[in-house]
Amino acid sequence: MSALSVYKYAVKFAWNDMTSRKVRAGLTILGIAVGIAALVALMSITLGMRTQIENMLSETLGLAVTLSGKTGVEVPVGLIPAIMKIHGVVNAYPVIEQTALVGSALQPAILEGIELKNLKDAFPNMELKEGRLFYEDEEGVLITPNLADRLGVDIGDTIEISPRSTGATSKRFRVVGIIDIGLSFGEMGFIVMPLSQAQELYNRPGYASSIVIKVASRDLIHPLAEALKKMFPEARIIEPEQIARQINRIMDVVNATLLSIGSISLIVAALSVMNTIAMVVRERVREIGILKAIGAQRLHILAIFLSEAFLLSFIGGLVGIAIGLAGAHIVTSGLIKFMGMQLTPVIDPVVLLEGLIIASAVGVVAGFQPAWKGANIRPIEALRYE
Amino acid sequence: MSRAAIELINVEKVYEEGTPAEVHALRGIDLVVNKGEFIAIMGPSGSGKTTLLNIIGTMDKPTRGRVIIDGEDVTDYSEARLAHIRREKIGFVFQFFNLISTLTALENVTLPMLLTGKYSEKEAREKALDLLTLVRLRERANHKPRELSGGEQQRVAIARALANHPTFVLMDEPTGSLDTVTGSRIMSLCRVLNEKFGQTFIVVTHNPGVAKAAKKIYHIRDGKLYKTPPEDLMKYTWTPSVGEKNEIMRVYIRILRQELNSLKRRLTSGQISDAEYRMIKQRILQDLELIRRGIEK
Repeated sequence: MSALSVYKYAVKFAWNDMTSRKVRAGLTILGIAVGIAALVALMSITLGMRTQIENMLSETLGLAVTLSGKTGVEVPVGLIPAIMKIHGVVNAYPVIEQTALVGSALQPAILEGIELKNLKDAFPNMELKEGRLFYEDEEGVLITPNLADRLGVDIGDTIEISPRSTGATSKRFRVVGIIDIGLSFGEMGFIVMPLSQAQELYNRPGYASSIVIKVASRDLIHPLAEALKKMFPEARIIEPEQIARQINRIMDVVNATLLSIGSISLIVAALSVMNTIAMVVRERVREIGILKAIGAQRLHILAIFLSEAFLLSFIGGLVGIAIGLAGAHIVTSGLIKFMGMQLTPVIDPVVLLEGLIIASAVGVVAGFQPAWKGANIRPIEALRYE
Repeated sequence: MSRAAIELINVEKVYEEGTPAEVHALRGIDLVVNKGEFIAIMGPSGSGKTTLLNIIGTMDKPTRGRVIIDGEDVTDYSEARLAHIRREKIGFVFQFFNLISTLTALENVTLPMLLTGKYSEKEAREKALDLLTLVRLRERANHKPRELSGGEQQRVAIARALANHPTFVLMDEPTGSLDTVTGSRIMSLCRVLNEKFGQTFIVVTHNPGVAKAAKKIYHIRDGKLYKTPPEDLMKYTWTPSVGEKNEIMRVYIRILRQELNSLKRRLTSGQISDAEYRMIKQRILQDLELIRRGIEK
């Protein structure tokens, strides 16, 4: 109890010292705050990016595993009954997904061949802008508005599609609808046609480029992928998790780069705390002597200066978090406004707590060396100092 | 329980021992201060006074000899154990910056009690208030040192020194930064505390007025302690020996000759006129003549 009250005095001593040197304390706090603000802002923005990407991925890929060949259209549709028997599989359907060249100018576009009944599943965000959907086996296609613009075609016009594959020839198709698929593949246009038509175009009846396999829940995805790998060692099995992992890995690199830039400002902040504590110790040498004369131990003296380092950096951490959150919102609203990006910073309480802990730790570690030096001044040296 | 508050046995302190810069600050000090005594140690600067104070206060260790405080030989104690001795057995009053500037008078007096771990904060505060009442500063308890006068600060320091009921209070020039009237009030307070409460005081000072407050005065000169003022040591001889005198004059003659030479050079290079040259030369020759006569004697 009374041992504790000695440390209460140490904190009081430190606090009074800070308030008696407001400008110096303020500048040191600001130094820490800038470092923490940079970290918090960067973390919130990258976390926002990560969440955004994850949302996009789960929307597009959903609870599915894709089985495809090495290249081209080489997966037999006849595999589907066997696949349907695997535990957890609720649906499986073939798709042809290839790049093709369209029109006389041979514009590249993504060609998607799919059965009408699976259209909604493959493109959950699809929206019919004009016209109608195709009928099964019809020589009709749906195209995205950007492709329609580029080709200068409208509903009822025909377009020539050349499959980029040997042993296949180009063919004309009628545009029956304009669709927005809720996905952007950059400037690339998108063509959706009946699976049978695509098979005919690529001259591969009974084959698909991949089979989309749906499962009931997320935790079934990985076992399914493993089972498929065993059953079809030749095939490429793509799990959404894999893609997510890849993207996560990229984000980790981005994160690490940003954090290392941010931590430079923390190093500067640490040096400023070190400098401040060294100055405080110098100013207080005489008082260290008096404290030691009245029987204070090394630990008591250390507590005084470490308290000050802690208080400075803790307050710096709090201020830094506030600045960092404001900064993250300003930066993202700038990105949205000027670059049309969809981004909201994600405020993770763990990140905020980390910021506070990092700030305090940096301060205490940086303050330790001068504080230790002060605590070890011999009383006669301290009393001689004027 | 020992009768002696502090005992120094043949204490020597040598700085830089074994080097050409070796300094013998203390040369065999024997001192016993019994409980209830009020002693002063007087000495000019350089006499070893501060070194003795530091050794009595356990802030420095002797090169040889023993230091016994309240019957406990503390000579070979570690810094941590000495800190313990200082807060339990010794009350310090210094000349300058006696108090912790960031704490109030009350907190300054409370602190040594909290350091012992023997008091709760409430008990320590209550005792501190009583101590401040004793030095008649209760109404200034919540003031910071900079809001107090020099005399008031020194009274707070005395209250703080008394906080842990020390075996003795050690004072270093306690009135050094005070005017005479305030200084004598401080010493009167110590005198009362000594007479009424039997508090032991050891005052180190160069001021004879301050020393008068004590019942016993020791004098320190060149690292040795004397009971009577060592008058003989105070006397300096002002008459140099014949050899010393002649050496000084010989050097002086050399200087004057050099001056004559440079005077001639200035004349030949036209820096001074003929009249100036003769005037200055005349004066130098007169000086030379005076010195020659002195040597002949």
